[in-house]
Amino acid sequence: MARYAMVIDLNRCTGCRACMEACKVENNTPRANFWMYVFRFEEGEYPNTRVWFMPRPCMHCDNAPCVKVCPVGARYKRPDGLVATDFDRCIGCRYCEVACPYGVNYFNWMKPERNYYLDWMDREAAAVLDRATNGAVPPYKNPDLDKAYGREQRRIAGGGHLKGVIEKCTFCVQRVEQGLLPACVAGCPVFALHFGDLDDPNSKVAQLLKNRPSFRLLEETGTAPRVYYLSGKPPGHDTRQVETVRARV
Amino acid sequence: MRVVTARVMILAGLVFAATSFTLGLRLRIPGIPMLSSAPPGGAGEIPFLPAFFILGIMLMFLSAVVYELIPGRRAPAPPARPRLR
Amino acid sequence: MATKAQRFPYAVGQFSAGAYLFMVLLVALIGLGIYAFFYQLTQGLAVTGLRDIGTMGGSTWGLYIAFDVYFVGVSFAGITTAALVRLLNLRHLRAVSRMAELLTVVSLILAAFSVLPDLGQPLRGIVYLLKYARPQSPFFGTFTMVIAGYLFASLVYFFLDGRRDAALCARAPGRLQWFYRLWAAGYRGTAEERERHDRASFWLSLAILPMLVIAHSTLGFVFGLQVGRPGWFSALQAPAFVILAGVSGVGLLIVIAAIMRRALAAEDRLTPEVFRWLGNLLMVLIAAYFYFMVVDWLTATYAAPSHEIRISRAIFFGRYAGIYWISVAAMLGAFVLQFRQFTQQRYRLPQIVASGLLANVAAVGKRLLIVVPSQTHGTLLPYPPGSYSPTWVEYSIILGLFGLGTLMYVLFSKAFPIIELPEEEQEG
Repeated sequence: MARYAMVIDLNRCTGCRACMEACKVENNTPRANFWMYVFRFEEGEYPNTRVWFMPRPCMHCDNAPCVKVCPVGARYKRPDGLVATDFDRCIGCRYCEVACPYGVNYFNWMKPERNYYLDWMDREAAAVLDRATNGAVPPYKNPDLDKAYGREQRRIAGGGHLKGVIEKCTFCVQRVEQGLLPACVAGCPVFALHFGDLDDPNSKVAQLLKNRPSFRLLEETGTAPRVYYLSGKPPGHDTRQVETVRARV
Repeated sequence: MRVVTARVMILAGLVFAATSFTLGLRLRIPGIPMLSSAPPGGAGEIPFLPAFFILGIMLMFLSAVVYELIPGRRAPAPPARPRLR
Repeated sequence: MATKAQRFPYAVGQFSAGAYLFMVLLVALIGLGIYAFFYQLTQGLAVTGLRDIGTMGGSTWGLYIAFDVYFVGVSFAGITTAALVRLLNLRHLRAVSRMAELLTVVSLILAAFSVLPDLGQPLRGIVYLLKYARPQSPFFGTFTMVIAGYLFASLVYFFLDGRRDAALCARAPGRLQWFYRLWAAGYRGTAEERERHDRASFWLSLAILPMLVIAHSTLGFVFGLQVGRPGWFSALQAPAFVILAGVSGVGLLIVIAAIMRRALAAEDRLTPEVFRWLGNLLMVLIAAYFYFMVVDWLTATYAAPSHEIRISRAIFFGRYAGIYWISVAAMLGAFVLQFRQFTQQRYRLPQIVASGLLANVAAVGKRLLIVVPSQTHGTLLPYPPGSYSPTWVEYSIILGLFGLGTLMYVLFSKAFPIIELPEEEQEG
């Protein structure tokens, strides 16, 4: 069984947010939901400031607090390491959200709308798209997002399925199951994100972690995350976030 | 008779509740790092275990009702006639 | 044999114009709550002030959870009184035991109804919790123990304890005679029956006590076991929840007993002795809770991690300072009022009632302060601080719940004597 992990090279990340866009398009996440989010951090006082970017997907922790607290077992850990949310089972209590130290959970506060750029439900947008591309680009709904995955056959892919359930980064399970890389990894223009099997000594992630020092976020909480960061340090006391998200749904 | 019934109910309720709780934990045999080490996803889930757990506890408390309501073997003494003023 | 129609004691069956008006008001309040709930059901929880933690800068648990915790807390009253009466043989508290038990039953029902609007999928929630609830989740303990253990056990206790009075009421003809007969379930008042009842309720109270501890502690664990939420992650949460439950429960019981005393002209049963006892109990519980607060505060200010300091600052000086200091003042006020009476050994009912009210104001504030700041100001990653402002939907549902609880209480007390009929009624 594979042991998936993600490795993020902070030295390479330029803050272009292509990963955030790719994630949104691939997973159809609604407005203000950022499964993949890139922090812009600032440290020090002007003119001696240091600015750096930190992508933050779900950590898919080995000792995930969200899995422990889910009352109905909708949030669970797959054998390959992915922490998945069964949107057919979720009752929307948001306990996983309060339990997560990283703040990666997003709740569907209303009927999902303003989903990704080719929102098939939005007739107006579809009409505009149709006119602009002369019918060449139709609104597209990825059927993989509705399928059931894994031996347990549960529906865990994609976001914005229905209101009242919670969702988060799935490491693009619908792509990983087909042998593809998650959308953020595939979409990064500078190869700052890597994804692979830790148990495979030839995989990029295994080699990177073998050769370079790395850290994980909030390791002291005992969550054992599966996302490793290279070339940098975790955010500290004096690290401020700038460019915060304005949208609140 | 009722004491026996009550005791049986308490025991049965306890067994019900304890079994459903333990089965609900779905513990795996040792050596796993995760605390809530159940087979991933819904594999091996027994539905309605929590309902049984609740029923078990309710059964234990219902024994008190049984104990009070079921008449004893002896015929009760001639009833006093309470009257509302 | 009386020639005029027999009247039930304690205003059972008697509806004055004022009572009707009051009930209409309550029904209106409940209607508002129901309307708000269905509005929320169709539009989604976006109509509340709740939002995601982190990038959205919100609080994902708010009024609903805070009041759920508050209502479960208030339910402490019933079993405490029952335990004090049965286990410690404090007979003079018998007059309030039924009120207390009813308070427990009503408040637990309200607690359940308070969580339901908080779920994104309430109907799924009911079915799936019964079907798939996991014991590893602290929610399991709250959900099952509160319903099965606490609520059901209190209902059983309530039923058995009321049989005697039901049998008495069943003697007189009336519209509810069938109801009294059903409740009495063949109770005849023999010495043997009474002895059996004493024994059963002794063991029942004894068995409910661990339920009480488990129910309140698991509710505390819901918060206290979350390593990812500074401010929540503390071993003190579970015991503090139990004590604060006691404070709010006993406080509310005092208020209700005082209202009943006035409304039913029951000065002979609800004696100053009863209020003195309850008032002193409240005082001791408040003192215990202050102990927890001080320990928490000292630990936080002496050597807290930076994330907890951020929350403390928001609570002491920042956004939540208003709620915090008002709650502290109310709690302190309640304590001082009681303590003065205790040292002077002179008890005045209005002051005791005021303590009860203040203690509950403080409890509500404290519940909110437990739930919200750790979400808006307690992120371990450097998200900016968030905010939470409840909307009319949340307020309406909570008010509707209070209306429902009050209506249930009033209707019950009109259908059944809310105070145990005195012993002398047995003879002749």
